[in-house]
Amino acid sequence: MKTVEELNQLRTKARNKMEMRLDDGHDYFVVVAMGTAGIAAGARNVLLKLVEKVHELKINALVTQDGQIEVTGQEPLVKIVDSTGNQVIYKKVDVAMAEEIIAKHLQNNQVIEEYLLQEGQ
Amino acid sequence: MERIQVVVCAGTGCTIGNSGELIEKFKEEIKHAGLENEISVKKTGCLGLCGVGPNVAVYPDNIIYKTVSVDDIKEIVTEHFLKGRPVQRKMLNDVKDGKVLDINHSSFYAKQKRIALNNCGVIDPENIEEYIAKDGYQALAKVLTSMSKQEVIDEVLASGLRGRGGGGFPAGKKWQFAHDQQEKQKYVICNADEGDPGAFMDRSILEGNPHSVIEAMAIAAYAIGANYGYIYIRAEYPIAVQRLEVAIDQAREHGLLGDDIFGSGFDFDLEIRLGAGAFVCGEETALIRSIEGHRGMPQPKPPFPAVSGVWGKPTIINNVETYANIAQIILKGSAWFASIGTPASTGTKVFALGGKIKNTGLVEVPMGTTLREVIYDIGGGCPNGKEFKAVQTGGPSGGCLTKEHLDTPIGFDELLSLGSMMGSGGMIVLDEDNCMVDVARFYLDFIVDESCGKCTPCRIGTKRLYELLESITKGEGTQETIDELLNLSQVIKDTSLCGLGQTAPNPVLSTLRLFADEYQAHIEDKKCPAGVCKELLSYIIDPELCRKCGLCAKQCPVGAISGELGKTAFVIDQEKCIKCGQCVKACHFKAIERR
Amino acid sequence: MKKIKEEYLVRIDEIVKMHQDKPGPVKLMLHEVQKELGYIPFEAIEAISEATNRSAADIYGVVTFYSQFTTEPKGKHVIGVCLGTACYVNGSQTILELLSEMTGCPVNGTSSDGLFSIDATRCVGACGLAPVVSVDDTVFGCQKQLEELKMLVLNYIKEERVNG
Repeated sequence: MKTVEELNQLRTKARNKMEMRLDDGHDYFVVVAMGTAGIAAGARNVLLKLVEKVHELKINALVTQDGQIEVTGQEPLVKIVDSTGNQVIYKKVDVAMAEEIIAKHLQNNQVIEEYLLQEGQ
Repeated sequence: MERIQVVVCAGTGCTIGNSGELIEKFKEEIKHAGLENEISVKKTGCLGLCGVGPNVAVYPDNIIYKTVSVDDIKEIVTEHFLKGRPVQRKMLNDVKDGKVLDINHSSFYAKQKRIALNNCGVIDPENIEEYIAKDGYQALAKVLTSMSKQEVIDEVLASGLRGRGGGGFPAGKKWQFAHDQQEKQKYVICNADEGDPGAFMDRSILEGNPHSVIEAMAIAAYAIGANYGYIYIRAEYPIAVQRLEVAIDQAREHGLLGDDIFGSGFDFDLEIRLGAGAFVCGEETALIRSIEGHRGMPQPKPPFPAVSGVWGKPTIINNVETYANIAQIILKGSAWFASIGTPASTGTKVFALGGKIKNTGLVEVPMGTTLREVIYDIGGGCPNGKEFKAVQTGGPSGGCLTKEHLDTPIGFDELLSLGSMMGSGGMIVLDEDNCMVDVARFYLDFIVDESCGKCTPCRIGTKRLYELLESITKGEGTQETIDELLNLSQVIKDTSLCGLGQTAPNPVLSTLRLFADEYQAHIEDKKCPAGVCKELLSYIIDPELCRKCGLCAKQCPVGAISGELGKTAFVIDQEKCIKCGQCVKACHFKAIERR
Repeated sequence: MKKIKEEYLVRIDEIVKMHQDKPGPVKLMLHEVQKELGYIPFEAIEAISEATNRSAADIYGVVTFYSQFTTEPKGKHVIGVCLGTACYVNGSQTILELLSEMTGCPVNGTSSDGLFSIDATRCVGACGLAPVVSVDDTVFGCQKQLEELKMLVLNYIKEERVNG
């Protein structure tokens, strides 16, 4: 490369490929509960869709997974934690809902009440 | 789209543990599970907990797996990567209330601050793009496009960065001297000879983040007006040499080494020169002679290398770790660096923690962190319930510090004032089973071997010191021996040509001062309290406790034990006994005592 | 002096030619010869002396100064025992003596049948695995692998001395 501009372009391109190893802060943590129950209910597709969309739309969120401890019957479960530590858990998430959660919650900071896991479930 | 990135430590220690095989097995199992588009596996540099390697880090989970073997991988892939359940028994992370805690909060990492090591354990050192992703070569770009040479030197001066190789000389000052020379041809050298036994900080930086050194050398060259550099690296570091070769090639391919870098008109390139097994070549004038193709013998100073160095031209020589800090100082500013550590010792220091310590490995802490914090909080203290005795810093040029010094904040001047020194960063912990006289003897043995022979005080003086110490360990020492040791040490310190000789007596002086009673025991009582000096040990069978079973006699490799089975107590012939201790191990009845 | 192989002489010439125009060529040439031939034959010292205009005594002085350059060929199996501080305090001296005994090879020498060389090495920087011993390219962290190491050495002895 011959210019600083080229260096910066390479930097951006390379950062894209290793986001999860960079220590930038995140606005949201998105945790998909896996485990046998989760996977059986289709959590993997939800996980993959979330990973894909967050990357595509350049949302400042980290998508990760978690081993399910209790079986609630409401799988797939997706937990969203914001930078202050507040968290909500969405239940019975499918791929379409995942896209909605991204659009409303992650991009517009609007919690979708009706999709939330209720107390006691 | 990748959602997990696995990095496997490929430093020397972990490579010995077959980390190469691990990478292959991970890739195989990941493919088997159909996850190859979601998960990638790469090599990385030192994560720090070398004693339990090979280590593997998983991002973004911030989980580090320890002592990973090929047999563990299938489980990790299925349980963790596929089902989201990290394999807890292999994790270094702590677990609280069923939740896996962030590794950065573990007792090993919590007090560390990784600046020189910032990319180690994160990036693949053989991929320049990953270095670039982490702001690599931005500092060089900034320097070449917007800073004058003097501005660069001023920043380094203001940062307070002192040489990390042991000398602690302000890096900025060195650069200023070389900059001020009127010569057209100048050179920059990286001292990667890391000869202190027990030190592997520089090796880890070169294996895990080689570009940080290349970039810094280019910046230094610009600042002083040089266009060529040498990295002098010891031949005992083949992996580091190979990583550097790859990095240099990639830097050249990307136009970051060579002519007209970033179109600024500045040319810079460098080459590797290998050491060949001579500790003294870590001394800068000896290093220069070695590059020039001669015996690596130190030269009188002045002239200093900054005035007349390699090929007789102005040269700056800086240590690997010193260079590893430069890019961040340029990018984040001298004030940022100076705000870390203490006013006289700014920034951080990387230590290689070894010896009798639970967590052996590499740690980087802000200056001002106490020895207690490093040894106990981070290092985990002495294993096997043994009592801490001393910590040796500064290698063969340094001294010991004891329990009473544990709350000393780490810093160049603080350690000097206590009779030791920072050195390059080797920190060896000793426990109750180490004999301090023997430790001094060990260091002198090393020095005698490594003395270049040029000046009499070192060539002959250190040999005499060694002989005096040896006589003490054999029970032949007297009070006069101690007086001679003290006297001779002072003469050698005052009259040796170079740092090797001048600091050779330090371990002797330090142990004599802090462990006088141990020396006395060897001299007056002819005993070695720690049970190390063989000539002073005796193994005695207690006739009351002896069950006459003969097991000890069977084990004895020299047939020194005799007795009658079932009839008379067994006895050890002290003349024949080689003090190996096998009889003690063989006896089920604790009838044999070591005195 | 034992007669040197013809192909060694050819290599020595090539190596000397490759480096002779570089600044400070002597060590570059010595490294290459040591790496390829496993030692530095007197013929190499002569060739280097010729090409760099320095006396053979001067070159010999450089060779003997550095512990990595040897003028004697190494044994078939090279054992390196690290005597760096961390390894030493964890018992590497004892292991060194044990290996010397087992192989009949003097420390920092070669056994008389040329089967083994034992080097007491400087710190190799793998202190997390102390005490560290290498046999050719295999490295053993002897905290856990001492028995494995002993087995390997015994196997070599059996193969070459007992059977071979």
